[in-house]
Amino acid sequence: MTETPLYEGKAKKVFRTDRADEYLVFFKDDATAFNGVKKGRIESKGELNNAISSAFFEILAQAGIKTHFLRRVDANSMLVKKVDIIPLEVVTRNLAAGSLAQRLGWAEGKALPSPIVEFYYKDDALGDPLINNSHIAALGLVTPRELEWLELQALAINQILRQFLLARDVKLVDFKLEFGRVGNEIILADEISPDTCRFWDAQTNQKLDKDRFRQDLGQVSEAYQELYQRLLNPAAYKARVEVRLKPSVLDPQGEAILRSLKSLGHVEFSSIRVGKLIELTLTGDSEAQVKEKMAKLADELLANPNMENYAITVEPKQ
Amino acid sequence: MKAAVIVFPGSNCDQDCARSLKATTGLKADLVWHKESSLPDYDLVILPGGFAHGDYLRCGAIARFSPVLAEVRRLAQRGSLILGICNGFQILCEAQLLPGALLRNRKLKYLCQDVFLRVETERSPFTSLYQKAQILRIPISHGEGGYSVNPKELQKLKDQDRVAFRYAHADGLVDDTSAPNGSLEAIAGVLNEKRNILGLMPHPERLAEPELGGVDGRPLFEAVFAAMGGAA
Repeated sequence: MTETPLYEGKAKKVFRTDRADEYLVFFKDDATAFNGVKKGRIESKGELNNAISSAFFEILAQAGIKTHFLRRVDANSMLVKKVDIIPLEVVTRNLAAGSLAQRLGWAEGKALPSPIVEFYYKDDALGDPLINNSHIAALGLVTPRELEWLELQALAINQILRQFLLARDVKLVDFKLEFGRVGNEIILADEISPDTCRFWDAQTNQKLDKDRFRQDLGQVSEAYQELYQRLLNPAAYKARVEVRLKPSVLDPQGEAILRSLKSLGHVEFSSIRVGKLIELTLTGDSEAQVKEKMAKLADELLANPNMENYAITVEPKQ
Repeated sequence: MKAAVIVFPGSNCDQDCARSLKATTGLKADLVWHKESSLPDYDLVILPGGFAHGDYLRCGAIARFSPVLAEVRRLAQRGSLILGICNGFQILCEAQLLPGALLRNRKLKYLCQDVFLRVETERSPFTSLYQKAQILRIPISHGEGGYSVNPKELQKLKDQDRVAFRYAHADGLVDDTSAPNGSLEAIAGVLNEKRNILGLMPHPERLAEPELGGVDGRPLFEAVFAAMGGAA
């Protein structure tokens, strides 16, 4: 590592390493907002953002998303693949906030019918303006096919992060991604942290991101710390097990209800089957793992395979 | 010669079983708490009636995870006699020591009444002192006693002469209406393949002494005692 950074941004420094294809990224405690107009320091921010970004990159890698992340080196730094950053900020939004709320006059927190993906031209001098497909084509930043891929990739990442966070009681309001080229490939780069995302507590909507700094809400470092803690928590899931008598097994209870309904004049019903709904809350690693666990429990205890069938649904606990 | 009656939280016929065994054979059974994970080699284990663990999920569903069930399984393998009465039958089915399951009574009501049983086989250590087709009067007391089993297993039960008792009318006729709980083919009790496990819904221990109003349950305990090597 050389002493002078190859590049120094508002929140990070990038250094060369012994290897030509790897860079070291150092996360700073400095905080800026509104394109550098507001400046400050958030205690331990560098360390926390390094840890948080590393965690997110690992989660995405597990889900099959290619990223520049190689490993965390020390408290403040991570080793990454060298990429040529594409000067596009890809922003994905689930709820209205920030510039979107302002631009369209929407209330902060308004739910969007489906996620919105926006592109901003990464240029400090211009103030990172919002641009559309035609602008991107005119600027020659990416091909139309690459642009389409970026949008799909952003939506896929949104899906993964949203579920992961929801299972830990955090709403993913919006987030910014940057991508880079390595050879013929485009991979996810930069960072994913409270500096570049909006995270709200799922119950209270308390902000756990840089908006605390932007809006002078206080407890900034504590919020970053809280978010990091939540990432380390095991996810909570809600599982529903529906237990039904097998079609071949007589259901006297259902028949009795059907008779009662008919005697009340509800002649339109022709059959009723009564089953059991069992709802459980539990922690686990993933929906698939929880589902497997529930199937085992259903086989062993919740249902009697001699006479009952079951169906399982699992979703992140909200 | 050693006998045990297993006690689950919610068992309520454990004392009756121990008492009837003593009264009919002189054998004093140990009352064994369901948490025991190591038992001596009992020659007879009775799983009594009641509501083990409250039976809130399904009758017998939780009880089969009681530590003692592993030992019951071991003793069954060893050839000891295992007798499950009412809730004990439900537990044996849940534990898959016997085939089938016991469903809610056909008419949904809890039934507590005397019924007539037809002895379907005398070829077992439990029924050897009865005559085939003998009619017994024995009480039932359950909400979930409708025996159900898949057609393949049912055929096997019949082919191997493993239906021990059927519900009958007073005159001994067995038909679609003779089982008050709606049991499949009026089945009231079944044996395992090795014939050392019997599960039945009726309560032989409740009519085993003249003072109780009948003695039709008595030969079952005497037969078990004889099979264990005791003098009848």
